[in-house]
Amino acid sequence: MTEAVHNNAPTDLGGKYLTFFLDREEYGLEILKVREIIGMMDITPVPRTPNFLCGVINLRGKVIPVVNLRAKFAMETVESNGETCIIVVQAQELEMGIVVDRVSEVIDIASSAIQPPPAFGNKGISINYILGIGKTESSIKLLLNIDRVLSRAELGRVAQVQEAA
Amino acid sequence: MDSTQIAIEQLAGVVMIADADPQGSAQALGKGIANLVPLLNQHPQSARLALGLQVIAEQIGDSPDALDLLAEGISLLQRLYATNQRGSTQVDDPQLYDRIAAYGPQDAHAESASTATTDYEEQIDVRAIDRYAFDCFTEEAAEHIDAAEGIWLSLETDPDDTSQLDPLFRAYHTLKGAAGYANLIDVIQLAHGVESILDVVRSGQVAMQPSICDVGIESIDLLRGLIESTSAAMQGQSVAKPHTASFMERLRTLGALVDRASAISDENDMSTERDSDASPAGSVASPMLIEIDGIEQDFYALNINDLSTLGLLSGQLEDTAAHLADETPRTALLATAMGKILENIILEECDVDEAMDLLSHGCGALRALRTSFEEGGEEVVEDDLLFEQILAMGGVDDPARSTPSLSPEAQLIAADDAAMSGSQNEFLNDDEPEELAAVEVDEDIFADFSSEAGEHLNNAENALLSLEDHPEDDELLNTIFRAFHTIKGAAGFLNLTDVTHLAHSVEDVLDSARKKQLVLNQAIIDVALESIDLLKELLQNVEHQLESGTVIPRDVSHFVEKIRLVVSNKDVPAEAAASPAPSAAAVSSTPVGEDPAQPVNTNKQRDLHVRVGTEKLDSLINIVGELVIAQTQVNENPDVVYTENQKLAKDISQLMKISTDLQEIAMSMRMVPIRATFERMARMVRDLARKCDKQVEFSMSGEDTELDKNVVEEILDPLTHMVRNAVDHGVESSDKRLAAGKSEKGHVSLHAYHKGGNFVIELRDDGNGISREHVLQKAIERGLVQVDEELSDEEVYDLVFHPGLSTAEQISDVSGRGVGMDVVRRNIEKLRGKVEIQSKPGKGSTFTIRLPLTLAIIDGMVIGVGAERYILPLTSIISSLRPSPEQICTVMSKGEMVNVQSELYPLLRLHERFGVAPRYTAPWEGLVMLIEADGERTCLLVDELIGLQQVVIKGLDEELRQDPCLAGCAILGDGCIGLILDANGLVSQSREIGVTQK
Repeated sequence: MTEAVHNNAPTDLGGKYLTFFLDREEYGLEILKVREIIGMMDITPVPRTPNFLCGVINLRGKVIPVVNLRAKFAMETVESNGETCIIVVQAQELEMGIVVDRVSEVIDIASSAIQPPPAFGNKGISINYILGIGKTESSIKLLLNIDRVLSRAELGRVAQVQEAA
Repeated sequence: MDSTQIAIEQLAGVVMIADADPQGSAQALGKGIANLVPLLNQHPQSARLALGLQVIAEQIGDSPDALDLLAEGISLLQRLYATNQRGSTQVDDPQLYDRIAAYGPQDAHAESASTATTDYEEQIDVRAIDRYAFDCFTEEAAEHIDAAEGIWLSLETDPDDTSQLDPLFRAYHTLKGAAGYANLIDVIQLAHGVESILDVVRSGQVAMQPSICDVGIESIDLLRGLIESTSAAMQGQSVAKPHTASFMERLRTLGALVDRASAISDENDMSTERDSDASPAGSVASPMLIEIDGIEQDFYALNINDLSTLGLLSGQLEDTAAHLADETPRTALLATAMGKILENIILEECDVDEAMDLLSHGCGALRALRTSFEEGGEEVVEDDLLFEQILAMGGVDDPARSTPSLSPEAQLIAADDAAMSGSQNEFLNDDEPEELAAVEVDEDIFADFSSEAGEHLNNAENALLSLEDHPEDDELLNTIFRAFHTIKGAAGFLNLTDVTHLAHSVEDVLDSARKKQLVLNQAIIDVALESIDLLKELLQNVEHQLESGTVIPRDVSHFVEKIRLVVSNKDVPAEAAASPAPSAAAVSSTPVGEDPAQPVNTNKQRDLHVRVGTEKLDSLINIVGELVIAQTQVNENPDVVYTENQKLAKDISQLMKISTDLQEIAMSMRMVPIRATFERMARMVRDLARKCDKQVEFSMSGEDTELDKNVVEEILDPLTHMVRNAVDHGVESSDKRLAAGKSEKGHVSLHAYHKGGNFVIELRDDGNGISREHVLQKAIERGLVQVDEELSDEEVYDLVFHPGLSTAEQISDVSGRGVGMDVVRRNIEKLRGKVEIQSKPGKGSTFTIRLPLTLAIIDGMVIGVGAERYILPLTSIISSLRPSPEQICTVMSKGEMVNVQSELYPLLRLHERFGVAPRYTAPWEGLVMLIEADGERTCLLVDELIGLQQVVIKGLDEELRQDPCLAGCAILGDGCIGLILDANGLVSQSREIGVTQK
């Protein structure tokens, strides 16, 4: 399924996006993937998991893993503050939380305003995670392919690598 | 040059000098070739040639030409084998090859001609496959194929293990049957071929050999391939079907080999004639013949006391009859009659021995009839007398005989009438005594039957109603037929003669409709609907009467008569159709008193159950748990605790009550009574007792005690094991019991009750008890216990659960291999339960299983390490202590050990293991927990004990549970998550650390 999304040129990508900030970069999430936004809460760390996985939280009786997107994207991590929050997303069959610096807004981005992700060559930037780049009057938003960022395989694979190391 | 080649060379030598002594050399040649054949199983071509040669060798004495042919053949074989070895299948003299091969098994030859065509028949025709049936089939098949694969593999290493053959045979047999249902011809043929070979092996005529295993394992792959490709084809993809032709060829060759071997092995043994004769192994029979084969095998495996299989077989026969009716009416007739005879056996309306005798001949006749049709295009009845006998006993008239001059149409009607009068006869016979005696009906079984029958009746009713609009829909008709058939069978089992008769007569009508001998009209549908109402009434009647203890069957002959009238008076159904109400009323006002309000009640009762998916239920329980936690948090909020608003305080306490109630109800929804499990045990005890030739009585109490559904499912296996042991080893044979001054019958009982938040199951037997000395002696033999060790009774009986300690002196096929009890204990411990044994030698034993009420909740000890909290299952904790510095010692200044009561245990620092900043690093400042798992102990260093808490277990995603020390997580009282520790993981972890540190 992700293949299909990826191959279909930006024409299909128009729609509503929830945008949020990590540092000074603004990202967008397809609105249909977003379940809810909750304030920062106590996260229980789980041993032997990848470093970007903060741990698990209790979402009204459901235990869901929480990923620190900054750590995932190898950005500098910061202490949480009043604006830090957790976006609960549905990535494929997994329900997960992602920790972001600040939630911004829900905007409509026309498909004409979305560019395919640029080719960075092999500078170590995984553009697999990017669906496209949305342009609005004021800013540029990186539209995330959340299914790829947070797949089960991703979690398991990284964990294994750590174990081996 | 390999041994096969040498053998062929030798044969060539013998042929050269055969002229001198034809008789002697014929024998030598026959033997030589027979020995050669198994060597050739890698090369089907050569093998077939050899088989032909073997037959020729037997004829040397009779025909002078045979020797020449044999000589030519052997030289051909020499060349062919050499060619085959090079991987080619080129035959240099095809004419001669065909001529010789023609002497061999016929079917192999016939098929060889068509091989070429089958190889290219690659597209799968899915039109004939019923999608629903196929879906069911794939699920079931996968299981059987997996099972069969496992058995083949173990047979490969241990070919003498004959105990595996039965399940293996069954797997193929079931597969074949299921495939027949889904119309998968390839699978049927393949499974049939293997099954036939297995049958011969199973009968002990041929030993299991590697070549059979090879073929078997290959068959597994092919079966999987076939199913996969068919399933792909069902989804509209065009796929090439796997080549089965070459495999079938091998199968046939092997079948022929096995057959031959078996024929040789029991030339003089007439009793096994059937195996080699009736079902030529490996032959590819037509689906119809395979069906008949299946019936035959089922018949021979039949247990006359097992009514349900009898019923099944009878239904199978009737189905077969329906399939056969088009092409071979007489075979169909025979099958119908046989089905009817089986039914009569169920209804106890005929002499069982005589009937079984007739049936066993009937099976052969059935096959002969169909074979004669398939080979000659005509049905030839070989044994007229037998044929007539069977028909007479089954109450089926032979239309060809009694009304030879009638047109086919008239014949149909005659057959219909015959069937009707046949069934009528049955009832007349039964009506004759007309005493309508009280019958004993088992209340529990009836309850099951009643709800099941209710469902069937409702189905039938719905189907009948839609049948009114779509009279051509055969599927609907079948549904109705099946419903009545099932009800009849079950009612027969329960001795409910009235229900049986009524269902039977309706079934007869439906059956003729199914066979197109009768066109369903409004009147018939009406009468069928009426019969459903009447059946429901009858069932209620029984239910009602059960309360008073006696059940008096009602006289339904009026209604049966009415059915007959409606069906036969095709011209004047108007009256019956117009006035169904009075007749129904007439029936309901028959002698037996009845409460007119009853029907309405019961119908409502049935609707009181709602089926809910476990997922929904789980999420409800989840959310209720959260509600209670949230409630607690509100309650403990200082603003609430110290509020001066009385109304608020009152409202909140009211809310608390409601949510606690809600939680209780939610939890109880997962609870089911243990009854079903106990009832299965009852059945098992009965069967086992029979098998072991013992007299055992079974009783149970507390079967309505409720337990979490998951626990009920999980407890079945261990309980089965224990009950089996109790019957097999516990209870003695009648002689021994009498000699010991006990009653002749042994007694095994199961009791269930709640005790202190636990669910307790007690299994008692009054058998031999477990001999303390015996167990001890065994344990000493195995080195589990020192000779001079003093053990308490408890400790001794605990040894029974040790792996590899079986006290049974004889290993039976039921139990006693010493793998039982340790598995039992492990399974019970997995459920966080405990099992104990009390036993008095000579008096019997009691096994007590203690289980938690639910799997979803554990008693845990919450411990703190730094800022984190973890939960340790209470069952694994031995003690906690604060050691003095002297109690800690290190090994090579690394591995830490704690000296607890002069035993040394390794110390695992939880904070180090989990990478948490601790409050205390010195063990004498923090706290040490001594835990046990798998019989080993270890110490954990923690900061503090927070307290005991019952927690609801939540799973942790597989990806998150990379650490073996984690079992899951739970939500603590404040809504935060605590990780649940796995004692097994911790113990093995500390052992590992110890090893690496040494």
